[in-house]
Amino acid sequence: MAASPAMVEARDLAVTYSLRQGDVEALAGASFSLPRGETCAVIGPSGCGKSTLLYVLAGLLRPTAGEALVDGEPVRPKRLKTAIILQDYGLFPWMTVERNAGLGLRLRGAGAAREKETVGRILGDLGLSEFRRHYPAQLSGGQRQRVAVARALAVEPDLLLMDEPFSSLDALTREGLQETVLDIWRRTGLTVVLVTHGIEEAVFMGRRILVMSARPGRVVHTIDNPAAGRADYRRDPAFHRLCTEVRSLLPAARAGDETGGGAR
Amino acid sequence: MNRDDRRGLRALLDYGGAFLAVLVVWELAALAVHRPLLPGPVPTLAAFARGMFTAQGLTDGLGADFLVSSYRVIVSLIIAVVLAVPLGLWMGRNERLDRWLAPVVYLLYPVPKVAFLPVILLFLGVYDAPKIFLISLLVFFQILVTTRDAARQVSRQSIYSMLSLGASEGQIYRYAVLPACLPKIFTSLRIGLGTAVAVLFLTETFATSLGLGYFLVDSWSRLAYVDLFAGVVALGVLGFLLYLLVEWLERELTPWQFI
Repeated sequence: MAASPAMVEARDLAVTYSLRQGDVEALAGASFSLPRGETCAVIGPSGCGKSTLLYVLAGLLRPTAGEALVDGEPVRPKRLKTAIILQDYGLFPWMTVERNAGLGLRLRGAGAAREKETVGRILGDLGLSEFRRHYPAQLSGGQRQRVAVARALAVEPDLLLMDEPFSSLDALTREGLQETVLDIWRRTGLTVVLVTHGIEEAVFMGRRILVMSARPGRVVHTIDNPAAGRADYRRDPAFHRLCTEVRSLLPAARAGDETGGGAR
Repeated sequence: MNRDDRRGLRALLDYGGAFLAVLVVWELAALAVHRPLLPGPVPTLAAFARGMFTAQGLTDGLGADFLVSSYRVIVSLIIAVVLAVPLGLWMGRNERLDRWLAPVVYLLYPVPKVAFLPVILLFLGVYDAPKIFLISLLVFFQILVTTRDAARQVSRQSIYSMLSLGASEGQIYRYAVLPACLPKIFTSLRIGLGTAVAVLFLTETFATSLGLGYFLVDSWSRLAYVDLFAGVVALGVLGFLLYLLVEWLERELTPWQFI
């Protein structure tokens, strides 16, 4: 297969879940492509299949139809350079911060010395050094999210997928973490795909914004947002104009939408 | 004094207080009944100490029976855990296996296995094997059912987390499924422990001349009520020590529960 310039490419992705109550169409023909080293925010109404899209890109879910390519190759579950941060952070309560952060390396048999060195450095960067012997239950929400970021970064990914990573944090903590992730993106040049239901988060983080339709999800608008990633963007009037635009593009929430969807 | 020391002292005081309360009620009951049928704590504990802490008792008395019974219960519990935990985890994670095995397990679970004691004795003889087999069988089912249910409840998110980090099936069991189930496994082990000691007593009352169950029946038939009660105390001490052992293991193996 010829190498594609795109880091992520989705072609007509469709996913249908078979539940006891019948089939649920989560995605119906979602297509987009994302160049290497870009950040992309996927936004859409509740239950529109945003998380499903991310699971497909991570290789955790096989699409019913269509094709997903990462770095020019069809996704496989064990692509070692893809890291995903799940909605509830996916931290294990039985592992200390350093064990959680080093899990990916340990699973790959990286050796204790390399694990210690890498994890120590990353926890230091994220301001978690003094908590390395703590368990997740002893941390605040923002600290837990940092541990999840540390664990994703420890395996040195080139593609970072995030599923509503900051949705349960307070506004100040959330902004701090958004900046942390952008900072990492600027330093490492990895490709970031972020699923969110926050309009401001999408505009601040995504240099490309994909707006999805209500379920079954398709990508209905693609917005280029080259100013995203600048630290002072939030204070720029253009930022607020784009937020308003995105809001007008989102399908209006209908009564009852909040009760159905799995993902908030 | 650090936090752990304080907690240890506190537990010691709590258990000591409970022990004293039991002794007082017992003494009052003995005084009220005032018959050899119910000896008081002083002669009973003296007989217990003679049986447990003298060379003679340890070779040919209560101590010897205590050791035999301890051996039987501990070996049974180990066998039950070693067989039930892996099978339960596997059933909880593997739907096809579960569909075949779960009906069998739930059909056999409520059957009173002690009813098979005569048959087991015929097959396995009169030494340790039938006792260990029966205790293991009972505790095996208790741990299996709990472990399987716990493994089914491991969240999809944590499995996804493991998969996305490149975990193999074996690593998923080791790092995600087993630790998630350990607290419930320990709870079932604690419950199984009570069952084990009770069934131990039952198995040792038949066709044997060793063990605390035999000691009790023998004392009873000799009308040696002080010995009888010393045996009951020994059975209680055995259960209590095993309980402490499980508690200690749980603290060592699941430290995140005690923060």
